[in-house]
Amino acid sequence: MIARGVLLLLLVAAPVAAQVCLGGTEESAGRVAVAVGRAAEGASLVGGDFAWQLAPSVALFGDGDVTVYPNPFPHRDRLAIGVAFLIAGAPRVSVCFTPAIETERIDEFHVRRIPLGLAVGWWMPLSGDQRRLEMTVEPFFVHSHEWIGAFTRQSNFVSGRAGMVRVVRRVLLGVEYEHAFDDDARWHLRARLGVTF
Amino acid sequence: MRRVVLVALLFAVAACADRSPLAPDAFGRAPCRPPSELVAMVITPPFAPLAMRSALIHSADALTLLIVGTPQRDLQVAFRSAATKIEIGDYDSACRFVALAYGVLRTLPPTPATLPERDAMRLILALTAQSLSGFGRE
Repeated sequence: MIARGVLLLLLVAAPVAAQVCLGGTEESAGRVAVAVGRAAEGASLVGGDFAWQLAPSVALFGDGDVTVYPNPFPHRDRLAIGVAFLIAGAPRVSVCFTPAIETERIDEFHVRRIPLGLAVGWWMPLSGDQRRLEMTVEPFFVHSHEWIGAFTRQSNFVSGRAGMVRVVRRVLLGVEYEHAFDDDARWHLRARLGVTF
Repeated sequence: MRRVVLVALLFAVAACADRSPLAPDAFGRAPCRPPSELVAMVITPPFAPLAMRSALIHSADALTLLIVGTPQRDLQVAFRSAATKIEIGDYDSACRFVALAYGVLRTLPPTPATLPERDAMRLILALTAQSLSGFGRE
C-alpha cells in the first residue's frame, strides 16, 4: 500500500508551472540548498533544505540545521519536514498553506513543533537567460511541545520568515531571515546556495 | 481569497492560547541560563558545579520529606536529575532542572512547618545556579 502510494507520488512528480511558494520553476520540480548563517546568542548555523513539487499544487519540503553556540554551550539540532499546498495562485504570485513537523534538541531538552505556515511567494524575471528573483514571506503559527526528563510544557507562538533568492539557470543564491515572536525571541539569518532539479 | 482569509483567521485565534507559567527558563530554546533571581541571591567566587552534587541529593532525599503530593515528587526528580547531570558534565540540562526545581519551590504554600526546608532548598538552588552561571559560562 505504502509502495503504491510512493509510486503514485513519483509518477505525478514532474516539472510544473512555477509557483514560488512550492519551490519550483518552469524548468524544474524542486531545489536543494545548503545554508550558513548567524543566529541569536552569538551562534553560527549550518544547514540545508529542499523542496520537491510533487503535483501542480503540492510540494514536499524539509530543512535542518545545527546551531553552534559559543563554548561551553551545547549545540542545537533541528529538523523539519512538511507539505506545501497551493491555495491561491497567479502567474507571478502564489500563496501556500505549509504545515510541517519539526523536531529540535539541546542535550536532554527536546522540542516537537507543528508550524502552520502561510507562504506568500512572488517572482520577477531578470535580464538575461533563465534569471529570476524570488521573494517569500511566511508567517507561522507554531504549536510547541517541549520536555526535559519528566517535565513537559506546551506553548503556542507566532513566528515569521522572509527570504529572497536569485536564480540563474540551475543555480540559486539567496538570503533568509527568521524570527520567533515568543519569550526566546530566537532569530537566524542565513545565506543559501543551491541547485534546482 | 476566502481560503487565505480563513487560514489567517485560524492563526490569529490559535495564537491567543495560553502558555504554561511554570519555570519558563527551563524550556527556553536557547542554551539555559539559571534564573537571574536565583543567581542574585548569593555572591561567591566561581566554583565547580560538582561541589553542589551532594547538597542536591540531600535536598531530594531529606529536605522534601515534609512536602506532600505532586510538588514533593517534582522536587525530588528535579534535584536528583540536576545532581546526575552535573556529575556527567551536562550543565545545560542541570541548569534546566535547577530552574524547574525553583519553579516548583515557588508554588509551595508558605506554611511555617516547611519554612526551614524551603529556605535550605532555595539556598542550595541559589548556590548551584551561581556555580552554573560562573563555571565557564560567561
